[in-house]
Amino acid sequence: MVGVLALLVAASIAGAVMARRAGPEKKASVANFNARTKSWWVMVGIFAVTLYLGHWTTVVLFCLLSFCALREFITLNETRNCDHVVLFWCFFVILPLQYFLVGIEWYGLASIFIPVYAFIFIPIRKVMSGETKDFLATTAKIQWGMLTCVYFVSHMPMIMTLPIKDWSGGNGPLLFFFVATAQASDVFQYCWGKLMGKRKIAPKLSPNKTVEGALGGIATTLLLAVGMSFVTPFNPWQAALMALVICLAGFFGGLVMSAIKRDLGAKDWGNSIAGHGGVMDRIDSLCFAAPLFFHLTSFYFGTGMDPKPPDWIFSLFGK
Amino acid sequence: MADLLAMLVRLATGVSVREVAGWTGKSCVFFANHASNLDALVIWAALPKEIREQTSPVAARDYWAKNAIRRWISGKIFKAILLNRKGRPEDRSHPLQGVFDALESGRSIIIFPEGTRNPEGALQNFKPGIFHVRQRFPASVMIPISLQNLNRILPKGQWLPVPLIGRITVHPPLEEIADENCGEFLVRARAAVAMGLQKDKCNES
Repeated sequence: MVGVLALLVAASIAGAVMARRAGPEKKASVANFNARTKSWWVMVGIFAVTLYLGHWTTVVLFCLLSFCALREFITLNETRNCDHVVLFWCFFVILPLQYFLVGIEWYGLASIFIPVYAFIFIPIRKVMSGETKDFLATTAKIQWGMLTCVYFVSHMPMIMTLPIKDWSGGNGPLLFFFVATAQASDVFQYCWGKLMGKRKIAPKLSPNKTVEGALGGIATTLLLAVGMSFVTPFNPWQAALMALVICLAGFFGGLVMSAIKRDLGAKDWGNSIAGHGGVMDRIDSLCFAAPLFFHLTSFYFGTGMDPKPPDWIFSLFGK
Repeated sequence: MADLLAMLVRLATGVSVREVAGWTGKSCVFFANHASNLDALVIWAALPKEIREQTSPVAARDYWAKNAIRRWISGKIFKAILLNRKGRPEDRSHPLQGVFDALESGRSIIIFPEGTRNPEGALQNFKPGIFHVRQRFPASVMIPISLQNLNRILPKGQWLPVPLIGRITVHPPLEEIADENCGEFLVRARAAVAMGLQKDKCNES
């Protein structure tokens, strides 16, 4: 946490200095840098406060993030009028229910609720509208949106409830480790790319990603992760391996979401976060990394999640 | 109350307007495409406060005067001008009299020249009403507005909204062209609205 604050202070000072020195041709990118830094302050502040307040506030925060991301995803997709009711279900029933299941720690249902129950429900509700045109395409788009924006993202608050062997440090720091590593990887890749990026990795998909940026960014992030390992149950080299998985999944997650965005003909997912674009532009690298990090941690460090529903659900039915 | 409602609508639909080029302070005519019951409410809510307070949406009496809640919203909150869609034989006054009175008193109005909503959201031909307004008040500034996605938030025939992000584009006012006939004017006005509906989804930033 202290390290993140130090980084933000450094970025703000650097931004202020650059704004004073920058020539007219660099004004725009310095302004973008400063807008990004400012937004980072706000995002880090909100995240820190929610982590401090405990697991239900974290669930609510990520529920809102999912809601915004899904909203951006469906807005850019061409859904049809006949999808209206099924979309209403997705936004106002399935999405809150998924986070409710995460909140009450019913791991057995939360981990399959969307890929099984929602994915069966969505085409059934859609077929009731009687429209066959683009049936598979629109069903798949809605399902993809639910998978990436809701299901994957909901693995982050799930980290808060993961029971871990021989560890008394709390799960808040673990979630912090994950988010800080994934976001630092984005930031460092951006910085290294700006400083010395030459060879483009995927010029069509993501013109800002360069070989130098990716390598430098990942190396710096691994160092940061080793430095943060004392707040997690990982020893330094385990933390570095975890960070490598997060970086790679984040890198490719970002590329995939960027390919979808370009397929849909947009530059950003939205404009709700100044300097960054939409919510989806900020969390695209978290989407793919979150379930991987959750399961790896659970396999090697967990005591096993209980798939049974919480007792009070049984007592509802008199058992 | 009105400000609170406007803020909620802006938050829910992601639609807001920073400034309106061509706003003269009085008797402006905002005209837009019509695909959802939300249209009038959203334009009204998206306009900057000082413009919103002087602007009345024009709406159908058969919908907005149906019950006490709708009458209260249309009358007290956004001070709508209600028009009879089906002309009554005993009513001798001009069907647009309410609009004329509002413009006469200096208020601005929001109208939908297509007259009705299109279920598919495509832009229909404009009805001549807007041309009559233009002839009656040659000095009024005509400001075209394009609304996108609102028909997906609340399509015709649905009552549950889906929280997508809407888009509003306020275009520069229509230019003055002398001796234009009704057909020419309607085509020009429609083209101005259609310009903002093209499928370029690239964000400006």
